[in-house]
Amino acid sequence: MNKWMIAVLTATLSLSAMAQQDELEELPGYVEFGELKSVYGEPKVMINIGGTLLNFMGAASKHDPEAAALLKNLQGVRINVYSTEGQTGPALEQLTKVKNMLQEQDWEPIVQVRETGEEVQIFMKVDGEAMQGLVVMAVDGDEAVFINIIGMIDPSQLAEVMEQFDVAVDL
Amino acid sequence: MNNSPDKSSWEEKINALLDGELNEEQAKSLWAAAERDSALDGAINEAVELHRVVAKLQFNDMPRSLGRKLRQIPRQTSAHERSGFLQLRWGMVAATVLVALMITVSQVGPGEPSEAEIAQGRRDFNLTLTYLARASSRTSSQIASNIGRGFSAPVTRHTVRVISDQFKLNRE
Repeated sequence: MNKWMIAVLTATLSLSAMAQQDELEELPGYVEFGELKSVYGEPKVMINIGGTLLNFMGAASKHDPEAAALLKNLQGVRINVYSTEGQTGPALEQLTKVKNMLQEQDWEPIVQVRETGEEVQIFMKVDGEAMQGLVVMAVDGDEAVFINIIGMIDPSQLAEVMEQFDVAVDL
Repeated sequence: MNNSPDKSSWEEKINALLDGELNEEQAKSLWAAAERDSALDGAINEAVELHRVVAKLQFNDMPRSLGRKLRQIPRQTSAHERSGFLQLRWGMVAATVLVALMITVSQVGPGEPSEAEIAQGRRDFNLTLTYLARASSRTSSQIASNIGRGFSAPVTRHTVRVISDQFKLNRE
């Protein structure tokens, strides 16, 4: 019995996760960041929020119309954060690979900061007047951060939501 | 497990047990037989667990014919199945449940998230925004040196403000 139950439940969970992942990968704003686990181990932060959950989060933000409007149009939020512990080389190499890939795919570079052992790259994908995706990559001696926000993004709306979410710069 | 005449009726008794149709004496008799026969005991446990899985399935979210088929499986028995019914029947149920789950997931996707999942999603979203804000603080000095500190002042707090203004500049 147990093996049947395990098979059924495992298949259910896998199918659900795969369905969401496949759905995100099809979107123009999706970016594959590649693999850094073999270098830095498991990410210290790994978040994948799919469109379904974002929609429900938006519906639950009725008292906050800006957040509701923003979340309604988002299709996915992904973030991977690795501890670099001073070893920035592999992360910077990965950042460069992704940057080259984004440029080949007509993503627009917005902000690029390069200093010794530290780099920040921000790209966005634009279709007409609307953004389809946003990528933020930041590497320094403490951590490597890869953020991908997928969906229709209104930057000013996002700024308003950040104010209301009371986002602190210091973690 | 052998196929004695008594055991040939176990399937109906298991179904009746799951449906609460056995009286106390009949249930005791079945459990006593299960204590003597590990295969029967395993089959009952398997049936109970699968019954729970089937009961939880949202039949409305899958094709009507498949839902009907799933409901009917515990009732269907043909004479030639009886010989090895315990393994075949519940294995078939499990396989059918798996197919049903696949179809359900592919048709309707994941179910409605719980309040706890929504709250966790909000915390995750907030953490993502926090990392965005940190990236902003790293880029603000560069922005200031490129476009002037006075102009950059309104955009130094959050990356999105930086992006927003840059986006406008690019558009112009």
